[in-house]
This record gives sequence, C-alpha cells and structure tokens, in this order.
Amino acid sequence: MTSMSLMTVTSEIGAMTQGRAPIRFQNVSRAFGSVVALDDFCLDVKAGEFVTLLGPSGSGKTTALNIVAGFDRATSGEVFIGERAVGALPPERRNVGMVFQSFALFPHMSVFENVAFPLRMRKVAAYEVRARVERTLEMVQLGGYAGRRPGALSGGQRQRVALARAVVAEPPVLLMDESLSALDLKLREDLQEEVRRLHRTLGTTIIFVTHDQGEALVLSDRIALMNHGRLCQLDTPTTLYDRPASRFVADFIGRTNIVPIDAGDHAAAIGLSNAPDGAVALSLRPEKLRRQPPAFGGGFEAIVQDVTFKGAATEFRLQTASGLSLRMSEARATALALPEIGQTVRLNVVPEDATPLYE
Amino acid sequence: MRSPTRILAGLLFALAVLFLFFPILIVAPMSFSGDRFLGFPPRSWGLTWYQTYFSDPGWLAATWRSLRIASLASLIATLVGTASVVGLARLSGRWRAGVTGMLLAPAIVPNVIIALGVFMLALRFGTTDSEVTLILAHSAIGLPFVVMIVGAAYRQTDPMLEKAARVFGAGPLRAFWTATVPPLAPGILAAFIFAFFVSFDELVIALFLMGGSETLPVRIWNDLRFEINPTIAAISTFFVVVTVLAMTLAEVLRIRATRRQGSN
Repeated sequence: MTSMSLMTVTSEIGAMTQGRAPIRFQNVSRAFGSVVALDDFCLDVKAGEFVTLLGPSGSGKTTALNIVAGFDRATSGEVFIGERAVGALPPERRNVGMVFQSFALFPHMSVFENVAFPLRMRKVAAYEVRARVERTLEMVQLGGYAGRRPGALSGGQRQRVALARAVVAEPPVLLMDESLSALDLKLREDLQEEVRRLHRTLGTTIIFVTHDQGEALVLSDRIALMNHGRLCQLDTPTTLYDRPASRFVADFIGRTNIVPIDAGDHAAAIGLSNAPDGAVALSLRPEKLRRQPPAFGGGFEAIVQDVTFKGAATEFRLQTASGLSLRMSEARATALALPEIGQTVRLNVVPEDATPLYE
Repeated sequence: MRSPTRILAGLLFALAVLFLFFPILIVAPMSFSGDRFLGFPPRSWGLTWYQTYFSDPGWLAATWRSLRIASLASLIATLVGTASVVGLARLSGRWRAGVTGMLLAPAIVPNVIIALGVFMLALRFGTTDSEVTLILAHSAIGLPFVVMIVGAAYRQTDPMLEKAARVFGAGPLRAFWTATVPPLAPGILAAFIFAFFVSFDELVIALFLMGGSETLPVRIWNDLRFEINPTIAAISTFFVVVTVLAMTLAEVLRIRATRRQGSN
C-alpha cells in the first residue's frame, strides 16, 4: 500500500468514527445460486440503537450481518453505514467492531495483543494503545489478564476479551453474531447484562444476531424478526410480544395459544367472538388465561390434561369442550387449590388480551 | 489381564520393532569398528571411520551438496504446499478434490517413474546434471507431505480468525500473515523437516540426474558398488541419529499443530 492511499484510509476511518452511525439496509437481496438467503430486505437501524436480527436458522440473519461486515456482498440493494454506501468497501475499511460466535481470538497472541490489534491496525501511538487496552480490559472486568493466552481462559473470559477487542477502537457500529450462544445459561445471563451495560456506556449502534428469542427480548431496543430471508416484523420487544402480526411471530416469540377463527368456532366457544374482519386466528398468551372459582358464573370450562411445576409458575395443559387444546401459565401466588389431572376447571379470558393474527 | 491374544500381540509388536531396528543394530556397532573391511561383529574398535568421513573431501562435498539441495527443495515445497493448502480451502468441492489429488500424486507415483519423467524433460531442455533440476524434482516429491501436514493443521484453525483480522482493520495480506499463518507455524515447520528428509534421503531421482556431482545417497550407492568399507556405517549411524532427532521434533510440532486450536 502506498502512503497516499494509507492516508486516505485513515482519514476515511476518522470521518466515520464521529460517534455512532445509523445503518440502513435498502432492498438488500442475496442469492446463492437458486437459494435466496435474503429477499428484498429493508431495515433502518437508528444511531445508537440496539437491534436484534432474530429468526430460525436459514432466515437470513447471518447473511445480513455478513453483508454489513463486508464478508459477503449483496446480489442487489445497498447497505449504508452512516451516510455512506459500503457495498464496495472491504471489511477493513468499514470501521465496524465485531464479536464472533467462535470468539475468533488470535490463539498466538496474548489477551493484551488481541485487544490491541484493532488499535495497531489503526496506527494508534504505543502509549495510547496501552492506555486504551487497559481501560477496555477493566471495563470487561479482565484487568489482571492482559498477559494470558486465550487458551488459558474460560469461555466467559474469552467472550469478554472478544467484546473488549470489538469495542476498543470505539467503532460507531458493533456487530454481534450469535455471540453468547456458545456459553452455558448462567454465564450467558451474566454476559447479557454485560452487553447491555457496554451498550449504555458506549452508545454504539449494535446489530445483534441470535436465534434465541429470550435473549432478543432481554437485550434489544427493537427486534427484527426474520423468516425465509424476509423481515416479518420490526418492533420493540413488548410490542412484538403483545401484538404479534402473524402466526409465525406469535409462535416464535414466547409461547402462545393459537386459536383458529374459521374452524370449529373455537374462538366463540371461549368467549372470543369479537375478532376483527380478516383475522385468521387469535393469539392468546398462556399467562392471560385465568382460572376462576367454580362458584362464579361465566367463562368456559376445560379439562386439565397435565400440570407442570415451573418454579415461579405452574403450567397447565387444558382441553375445552370444543376440542381446543390450550396452554395456561399461572403464578403460584394464586389462592385457588391445584386441580387434579382429569378435573374440570372454569376459565375466563379478557377479549382484549387476545391478539388478532392476519396471516 | 494377560490373555493369550495380548501376549501374542505383544510378541508380534516386539518382532516388528526388532525387524525395523535390525539394520541399525548391525550398522551402529560396525561404524565403531577398527577393521579395514565391513564385517559383523567387528574384531576391533575405534573412531577411524568417522575420522575418514569428516576428513574426506569427496564425502564432505557430497554431504554439503545434499544439505544444500534438501534445504532449497524443502523450502520450495513448504512455500508452495502451504500456499496450496490456503488456496484449496477457497476452491469449491469438486475442484478441491481434483487439485488435492494432483498435489498428493508425487507421494504415490514411484520415484523411478518420476525420475524417468524428469530426466526426459531435462534432456530436452539440456538441464541434466544440474542441481536446479534436482531441487525442483525434490520439491515436487516433498510437496505431498507439506500439503498433508499443513492441511491437517489448517483444518484445526478457526476460519473466522482471518475474517476477524479483516474486520479489525487488516488488509488481505496483513490478515493472512497476522491471523492465518502464526497458528499454522508449528505445522509448517514440521512439514519443512519432513520435506527436508524426503529430499536428503532420495537416491533414485538423484542417480538419474546427478552423474557428475554426487549427492550423499548417490555417493553411498557408488561407494557400496565398488568397495565396502566401514565409512558407510559411520555415515549411516551419524545420519540415523540426526534424522531421529529432527523427525522427533517434527512429530512433536505436527501433533501440537493439529491439536492446539481444538480447545479454542
């Protein structure tokens, strides 16, 4: 590389480093032969926002991330980081940070050298490298580990090093690819907190990819739920949970009861006959179903098929007289005695708690 | 438990080891012989034949020639082989199988055939009796070992390492040197040592190509044909020791290279 082009690169990176950048997917498609991995995908991520790309495997979420990182190119459409179309830029000129699923720490370098790598590539002065690496390692609670090799660290510690390396150069955009999936549950919850704290402190725009809906709900400002290379619904976690737009969304986020409207009049049988025109089904969350004392009138009856203890809640499998199978989740604080399997219970549901689904 | 099968297996193993080591067990004592002719067991002892070897200009010239050829041939084999491994990973399945087959072929084709082929080609270009031709031929037969050893190490490294280097600001070449090569280094060194000895030991191709200036194996061969004296035993013993040491190092490196990233 000549010194001229090197200066151009550094100044480009400098210009992009100003704070946090929005990211825009503009009609992005990616086809591998006849397989369409990403299909006319549009998404606007605001500066400083934490957006999760959520979906089952093969939904295109990783392809979308790879296109932002520059590991893959869109077949058509364009991705913007800040004001800039990045389609033609190689990964090293996009100034993004990234946390990989496999951590991808350099095994032959110490923790310090791993974290210093992005700074060295940006030709940051040695004394500043030292200060920034140390500060970042403190931030992820790995102050005393600078001299270790990644091989000598636990999974959680490696993940923290990977995080530190991703943010040390303060990139305006941070990409995370299934970053916590390799860890066990408890560690994952700790690191989720860590990631949220980092996001609050740094204010970086984050695109997080996961197939774990629980993780998406905990972390995100907004979730982009994807399926078959398309965006299904883009909303805040609460809206996505409370007002899913389709059967797929209702089913993918949390657990729900899908009550069909056309077949067998199931909805009317449980007192939900107010569905708007065009709705094909209702989504009814298990915790929205309530048992009521037998003495009360109203509601509907169902037979208990199974009772499962879940710690803070008890879960029931129920069947209504019309043959509809329902799942109910009940806080254990209830005053009502636990029913036996086979017993009939009386339930009610507030019509407003059922969400109409249009597809 | 000492079942008859186990005892039999142990016995067979001992026999096999004895069979493999037998020549060394004969040659090593003979090298310390004080006699004038090769014979077993020696009737007197001494370091005469080691002295002969280390003071005979003919033997020393052949040794230096072999070392020179082996160094350059293994260097070429290591560079080309490592580049091939990295290149192969970027090919699609069908092409990869085909090219891998071609790269490994020199390990399967008998050296006589390779020798004949190289000799005919060299005749046409007028490059017989040339160290350069032999170096190129030897790098070809060392190549399969490099492809196998470095390939095994490469498959153990995380393909995301290079992407990580790119995303954090390294250009393609820089990413290759800082992220891909270092984890492979022990494997590359092991491959170099293997390729070195493939060349250093090689007799047949050298016989075809090196009429005037002998390599060490050619010199040994010629010497055995005309007179039998214990210098050969001394040389053999000396190089058995050197080879065993170097190959042990290579093997240790190779195992480390194929295991290291497993836990990462």
